[in-house]
Formats: sequence, structure tokens, C-alpha cells
Amino acid sequence: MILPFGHNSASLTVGFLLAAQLVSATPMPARKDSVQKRSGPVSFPIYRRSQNLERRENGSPSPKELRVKRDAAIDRIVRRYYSPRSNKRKRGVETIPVSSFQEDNLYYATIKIGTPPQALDVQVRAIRDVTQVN
Amino acid sequence: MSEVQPIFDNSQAAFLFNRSSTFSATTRPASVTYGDGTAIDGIIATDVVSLGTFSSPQQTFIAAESETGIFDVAGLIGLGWTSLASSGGTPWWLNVLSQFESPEISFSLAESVHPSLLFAFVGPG
Repeated sequence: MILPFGHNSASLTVGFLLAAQLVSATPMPARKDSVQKRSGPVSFPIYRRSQNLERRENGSPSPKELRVKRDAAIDRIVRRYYSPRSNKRKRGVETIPVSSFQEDNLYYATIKIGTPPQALDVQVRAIRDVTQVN
Repeated sequence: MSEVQPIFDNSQAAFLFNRSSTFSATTRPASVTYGDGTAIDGIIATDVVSLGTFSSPQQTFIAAESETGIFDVAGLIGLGWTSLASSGGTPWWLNVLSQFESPEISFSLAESVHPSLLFAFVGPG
């Protein structure tokens, strides 16, 4: 709730006051003591930011902008390396699907090993914490 | 020992090495211990390993003979650098790099009902 004001609010109290100013036509005086005397639950409306405000105040791209950039990058690679004219040649870009397990905790891919090839599902890993070689 | 698993296996799917005409094993033992306490012991071996249409004809890997902990997979393929390979071999993705038209690999965490990772290679055009 206080996220849009995160850079200038250090507590929920201040966040509430800023939100109250946002929804009132005339800004309320920021009187901390009056807020602290409140008892019971306090509620105030929050709004979804409109699309043209999706760019964050610090200038970093929004998730939507990142998605657009990512899709454009994939399109560039496909256009550059995919050659639809020749069916005999290997596709320039090959996408290998990988499935996830336990809410993206682990990822699997199917490799083929041996002659004739045997299909095996293996876990894809990029890091290892401890190594020991005999 | 009728079965050798490429890295490790805790399921019914396992690599049947004696049915592969290109399988080659050494007598060199190797073990890997992971940060979560799981571990495997095995021997260093080679065989052809493919992912998609990219294939490494003599891929070095550890054929696991015993494991500590639960893995629930037939094996593991690492995407790290050679310094991380306990087998001392070159990782699969570096071996197939020469088959790439451009040395680019991307990973895409696709958004879907069933989350999936797309593993994209740039190969010869």
C-alpha cells in the first residue's frame, strides 16, 4: 500500500497520511499525533496505477516494458538465424522445452544418450555449492 | 551391475549402458556432493549425448553407481563452466558450441498455467 511512497515514508503512519492526502481534495495536515490516537482497524482505498504511469519513478522499466523488450529480442534472434527457405537445413534457432517441478524449484529437460539413443529426463542445473573429486 | 545411470537416478528411468554401442567407461571414480547434502558416487564415462538436435558425440559424464539423498531424476545436466565439472570433462553445452552459428544461448521463463523454461540455442542456419 505504501509502495509508491516508499522513498519518502519510513513507517506505516506516514504512509497512511500520504495516502489520505492522495484521496482527499484538499491535503490534510500531516499531524502524526492525531493518527496515533486512532484505535481499531483503519482502511483507505488503494488504486491500481494506470498503464501510462507503469514506468517507475526511479526510471527502471516496468514489468510490461521488460516483457516487450524480451519479446523483441527473441524476434530479432529468430529473424536473424531462422531460414524458412530450406527445410533440409537445421533451424537457426532451436528451442528446447523444459518443464518445472515444485513451483519452478527444479527444471527438467529430456536428453538422448547412447546408440541407439535412449531418452532420459534430467535436471538442468547451473550451479553447485560443494565439489569433491576423487 | 546391469545399469549405469548417467549422473544419478532414483526412478525407473535409467541409462542402460550395455545397450549402447558407443558407451565407454573408465575406471576412474568420481563423486559430487551438493550444497543440500545430496551426493553421488560413480565412474567417469563417455557416450553420445543429445539435446534437441545438438549432439556431443563423446560427452564425458559421471555414471552414478550410488547416491545419497533423493534426486528423483534420471540424471543431471550442468550448465556451468568446466571448472565446475567433477568429471574433468568439458560440459555438454561447451562441446556443442561449435555447432552454433552464433555462440548464444537464452533461457526464457515462460508464463503459462504450467510454468516452463524454454531453453533456446542458436544453431547453424
